[in-house]
Amino acid sequence: MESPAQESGRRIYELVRRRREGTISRRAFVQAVTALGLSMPLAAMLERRGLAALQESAPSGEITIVLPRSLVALDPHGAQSVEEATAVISSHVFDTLVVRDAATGELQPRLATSWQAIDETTWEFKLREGVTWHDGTPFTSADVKASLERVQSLEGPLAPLWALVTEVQTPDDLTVIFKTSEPQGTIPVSAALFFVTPAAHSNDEGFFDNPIGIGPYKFVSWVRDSELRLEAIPDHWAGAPGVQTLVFRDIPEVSARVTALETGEIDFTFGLPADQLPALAENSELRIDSTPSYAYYFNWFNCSREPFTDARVRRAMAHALDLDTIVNDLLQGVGVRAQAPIPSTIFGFAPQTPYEYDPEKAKALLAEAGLENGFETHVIWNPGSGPQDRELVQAMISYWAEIGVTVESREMERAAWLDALLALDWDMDFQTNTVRTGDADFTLRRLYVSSANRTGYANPELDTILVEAAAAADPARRQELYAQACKIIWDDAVGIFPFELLENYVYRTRLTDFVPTPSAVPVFTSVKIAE
Amino acid sequence: MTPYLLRRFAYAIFVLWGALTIIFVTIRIVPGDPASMMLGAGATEEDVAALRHRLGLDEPLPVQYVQFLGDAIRLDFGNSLWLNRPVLSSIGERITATARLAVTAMAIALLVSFPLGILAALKKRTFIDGLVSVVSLLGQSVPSFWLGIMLILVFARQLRLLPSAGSDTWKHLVLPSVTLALPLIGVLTRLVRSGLLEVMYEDYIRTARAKGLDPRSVLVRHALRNMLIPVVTVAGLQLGNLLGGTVIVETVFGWPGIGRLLVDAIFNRDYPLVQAAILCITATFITINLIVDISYVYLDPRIRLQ
Amino acid sequence: MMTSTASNTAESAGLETSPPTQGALATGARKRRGHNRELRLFLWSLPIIVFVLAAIVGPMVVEYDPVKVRTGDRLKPPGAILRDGSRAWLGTDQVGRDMLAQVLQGARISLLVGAATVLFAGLIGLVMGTLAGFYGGFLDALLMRLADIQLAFPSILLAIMIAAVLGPSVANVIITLSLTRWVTFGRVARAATLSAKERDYVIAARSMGAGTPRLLRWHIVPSTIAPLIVIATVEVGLVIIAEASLSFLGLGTPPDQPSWGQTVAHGRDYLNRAWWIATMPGLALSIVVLSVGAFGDRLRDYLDPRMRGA
Repeated sequence: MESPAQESGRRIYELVRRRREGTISRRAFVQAVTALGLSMPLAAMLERRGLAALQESAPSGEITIVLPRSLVALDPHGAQSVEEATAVISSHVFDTLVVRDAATGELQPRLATSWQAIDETTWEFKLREGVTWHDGTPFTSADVKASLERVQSLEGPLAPLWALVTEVQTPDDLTVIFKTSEPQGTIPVSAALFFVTPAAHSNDEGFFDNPIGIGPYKFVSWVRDSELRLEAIPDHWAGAPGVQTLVFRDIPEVSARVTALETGEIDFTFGLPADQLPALAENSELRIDSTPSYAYYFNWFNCSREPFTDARVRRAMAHALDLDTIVNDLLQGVGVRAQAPIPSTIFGFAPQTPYEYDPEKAKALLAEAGLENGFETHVIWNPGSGPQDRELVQAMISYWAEIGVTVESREMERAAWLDALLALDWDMDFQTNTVRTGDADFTLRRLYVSSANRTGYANPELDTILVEAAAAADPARRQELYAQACKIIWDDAVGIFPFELLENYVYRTRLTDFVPTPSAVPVFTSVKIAE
Repeated sequence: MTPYLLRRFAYAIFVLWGALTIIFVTIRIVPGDPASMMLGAGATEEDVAALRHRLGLDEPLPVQYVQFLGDAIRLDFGNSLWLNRPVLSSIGERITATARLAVTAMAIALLVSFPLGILAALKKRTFIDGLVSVVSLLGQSVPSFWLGIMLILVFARQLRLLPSAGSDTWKHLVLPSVTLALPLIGVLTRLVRSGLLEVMYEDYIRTARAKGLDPRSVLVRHALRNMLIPVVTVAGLQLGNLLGGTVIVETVFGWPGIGRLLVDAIFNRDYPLVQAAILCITATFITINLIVDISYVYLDPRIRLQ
Repeated sequence: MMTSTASNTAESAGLETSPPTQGALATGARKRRGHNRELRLFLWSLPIIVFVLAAIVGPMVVEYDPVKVRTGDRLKPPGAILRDGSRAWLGTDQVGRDMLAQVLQGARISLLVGAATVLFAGLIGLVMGTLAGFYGGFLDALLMRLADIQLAFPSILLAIMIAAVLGPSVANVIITLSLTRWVTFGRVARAATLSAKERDYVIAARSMGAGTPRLLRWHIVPSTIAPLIVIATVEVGLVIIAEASLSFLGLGTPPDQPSWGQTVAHGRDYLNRAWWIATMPGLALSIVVLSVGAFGDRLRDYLDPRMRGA
């Protein structure tokens, strides 16, 4: 998918680099560059100025980054594969076949240069030539095949995305073919989350304690719960990163993290509570980049439990909340009102009619359902899952009390919460969720088809729509189907979808050229240090 | 001394076995399951069941227990489910980091509480005594996380004297070890004071005094020495506790210690890691207390180990 | 930390061997000292009495409503006038609830947890310790090894497990803390029993044919009470701190019944912006723990005959 212009640009870049290293003569350089279509004077100028430019852009300096949650493992295929911390490190050390452009949301070539559906159940990816692992081994289709099989066999959270892939074929070193048992339009989208690791080593004992990567940074060292260091690959095929050394420190306590940012001990962090932001915004040494994200809050109803079996009760609960006030008071700078069961950043998003704040209507709906005296219920939640979660739960409970519904807040540690959640052992569940792929399929089909039975809600019509949407290869058709799905889930109030979240990246002003990402997986390749 | 040591060793084995058994049973009773933690919120019931089978968690409990004890005797604790690497190497790294913190904290506590305690005892029931008593109590009267955060805000944020979090240099060691030392200073100062006062009225000290010996040399040669026993006992117990990890201080200061590892392991239901960590922590605790007991013989010749 | 910061203080200070016996002759000077001691004992008990009264009466006067939040009035500093015209003397918290009401309610919860835990842990310790000391032999070895296991075992772990099984409630926090704290009481009770067993009057009573229940009831147990009470005064403070530690880990009292520790833990992220949320209950907590600790020290001095003659 690389244009001819891009291609020759890359070659010129490569030549300039080699000239700088002194591996080719001035004469050979000018010849090679003119052969690529540049005029002689231009080639001569490039010889002089291009070198200077390249020298300036050689990676330099060190920046320290703190992620919101501790890094647990580097293996991008296993149990931790959807953890943001793991994805951040993987994005630098490893690489994906395609990448979602942070600004446009479009899929861009990365380790794959092009891809296409050959027929309904076959996807073909052409791989980039001349890419090597950090130990010098060439990157081939065998690495892709081994990595995909590893994802499937480890049964981690990403495995379901590839469950329909029955076979990976490698007709040559630079071609990979995925065969699926049913039509699956989401393969390229899923490929943006799929990190390739070296086939020769991935199953070695301890490989991920000291991995060999392929990305713009190579792994140097990691002391768990303390510090991880990466060094730039100056001659990376996609160009040299701006910063020589990335240090990822672990500081779990918010006060300590904010203090470290203010004192300059660290350069970059994100995922801070809303109440920390105003003070940081006033600090002239810091900059905040705010961007819509893939994350959002929902408050699910257990639709198989009384009284939430009745859609009127669910809608009443939605009408009871003054979401505009809550956003204004509690979520300023970190969240906005959601308009659909998925965030507006997601492919497949379609805005819905908001449930307006109307306690009288809520009471009337309850009365219709025979609950004029209200009822008692509970909400389960796991603290730390999102910004201001405790305050939000308290605020919602306060509003529900106004319409006569007494809600007990059941705060649970993660393992116990997960247990209860999966066992459908709850009345309401409040949590954040992230549409990791940026595509509605990841969230809607996984969570709302009847067979998943995540909310006790079963709707054959919705099932048909979601399955068809996943199979379709045509984006326009998929968009249309997801719009229908959003409407059904929203109008039936399977849950309340109150807020979508913003991601706030806070960093010291000496960093420049950072590109904010909606995925909460920031990439530092473009970052430079201003002196 | 050998029969004594042998018996102590037998006790130690019993205590280790007891601790392991308790942890084995309780962590399996607790709701939550390693398989669903590994798979995350998106997993189906079949996925979870398949993984449980692969991990051997679907075997009957007694079978798992026998298997586990067998492995434990061979010191084979397997791989951490959550970190996916051998548990013992993870624990080794962490115990070292925690030991650095614990030993520094204990050293600070002892260095401060001896002079304070002696001062208080000598100035018994004066204003100074009262002041020492209140100050030493103060260290025990604030939650350590509150104290830690306040220290960060004052010394890192306002004064910019020390780093807020991390474990690279000696500067990083200051705030967390002071946070840990303050409550210890409270305990130890009071022990030194009361120990000293108590000993001062023992007959032999009175005799020494009556014989006209210099009060200061009496204090140093007799009283201090004898007072060491309760101090060493408690310092040993406390050091044992500290080496077991100090999850709160480790969390506040981003210190990569065993306490955080253990608590994270529990929260993730990482059975192998929890079990091995408990074994190491318990063994450390027992060893330190054994050293304390043996040290009695050297501190007080009247004591014989029996 | 949950670990027993001062658990063995009193024990190793030789308390168990010194039941209250009456001191020797009281000269005028000694009498005055004695009054002084009583005065100090009383002075240190004053803050405790004040907080106990506040815990009982406070929530009746200043009503705490855990459900009602006023997000428009959040993070207001002490003394601020709220939108409805009322004044928040200690400020408001992160969802706009009055801090004064919360601190008073917290007094109730924290003191209840402290007192009830010490009571239960003391009872368990008394039974276990007296039985072990009185019967000796196998029972003694078994109970004391159990105590050893528990001392060596990180208590935070037990707390996490119990909290996960039982779920969050004030009663469960009390159970958790009692189960992790009985050992100190057990050891002291055992030591006191051992020394009482050897006393002349007990030996005399036994030789006169007094049965076991009678011996325990009238001779052994009473002599363990004084050291246990002193330990208890030390432990109350530690338990309140330990509860705060549980709250830090998210295992404390439930959100609608916030202890001081709970409010401090949840307010800690606001320390640089709204210091009062964590500081007001923290201050109350520290004053109580400090007073209880100092009271315990004075009580020990008061009860210990060797300290009297000084």
